[in-house]
Amino acid sequence: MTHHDHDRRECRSLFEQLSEYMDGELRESACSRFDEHFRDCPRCEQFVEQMRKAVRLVEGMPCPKLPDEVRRALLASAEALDDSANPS
Amino acid sequence: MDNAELLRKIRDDEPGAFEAFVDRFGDRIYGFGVRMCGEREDARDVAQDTLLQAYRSLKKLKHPEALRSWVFRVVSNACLMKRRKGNYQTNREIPLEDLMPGESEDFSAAIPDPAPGADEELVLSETREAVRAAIDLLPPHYRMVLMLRDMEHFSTREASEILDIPESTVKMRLHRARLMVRGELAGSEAGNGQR
Repeated sequence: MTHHDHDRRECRSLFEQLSEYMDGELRESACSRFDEHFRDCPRCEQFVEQMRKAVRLVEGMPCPKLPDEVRRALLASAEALDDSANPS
Repeated sequence: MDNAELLRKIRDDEPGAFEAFVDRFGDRIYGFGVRMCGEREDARDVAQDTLLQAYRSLKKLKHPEALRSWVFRVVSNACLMKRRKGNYQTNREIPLEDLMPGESEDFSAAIPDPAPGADEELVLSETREAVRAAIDLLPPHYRMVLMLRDMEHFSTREASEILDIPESTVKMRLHRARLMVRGELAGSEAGNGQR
């Protein structure tokens, strides 16, 4: 069977669970269904590869730094709170 | 210092405990705020409110292993409150059918490789900009789940507890968010000659 004549309903059905498959959250039998499908459907396999890359790119995004002035203001607020809670 | 030690210092009101808490969570909370609230001013408010509010109430937290989840529960709620004050958007779920790729779409087209070499700084910078834009385009309730799962690496169960939604909803929203980001990145490559 080529990817041109296989049952597209299987593509649709697996499409729904793709993220769970990628995250290893499916049972072994469900994973095997994906692996078997990919042997007949290079299109779905390429799609999963694109999804994996997209997830890796999101995972690799750098985190913005807390601006110094916000950090300073926070530490000052905490100090003021401490002072009001424990007046000397 | 691990979370158990940090929590002990906070409970005991040790000098420097708040500073250590800000060092541990400040960047992550600010980053979460920037991506959820969009505007830097709102993100600053969220970071300030959240860190102070979380710090004050952490003394009641019994389990150190729940520290990180607890902090993100506070920040998620703060972001949702900011959203409610701004433009109201319902948490409509997008039908999966709407996110299915077209029959003619070419999946062999390259989304840029996430691990470019040092001589590809420009590509890396452009790629990150495209990813940032794709994340910004997500509906907020999808963006929040994507950030908790794929950026903060919480489990499905943890994300469901943080957001107080069923695990099935976390999975559904994560899948749709990833599909939308992939679609944007594949589309963003279409126009710049790299396909």
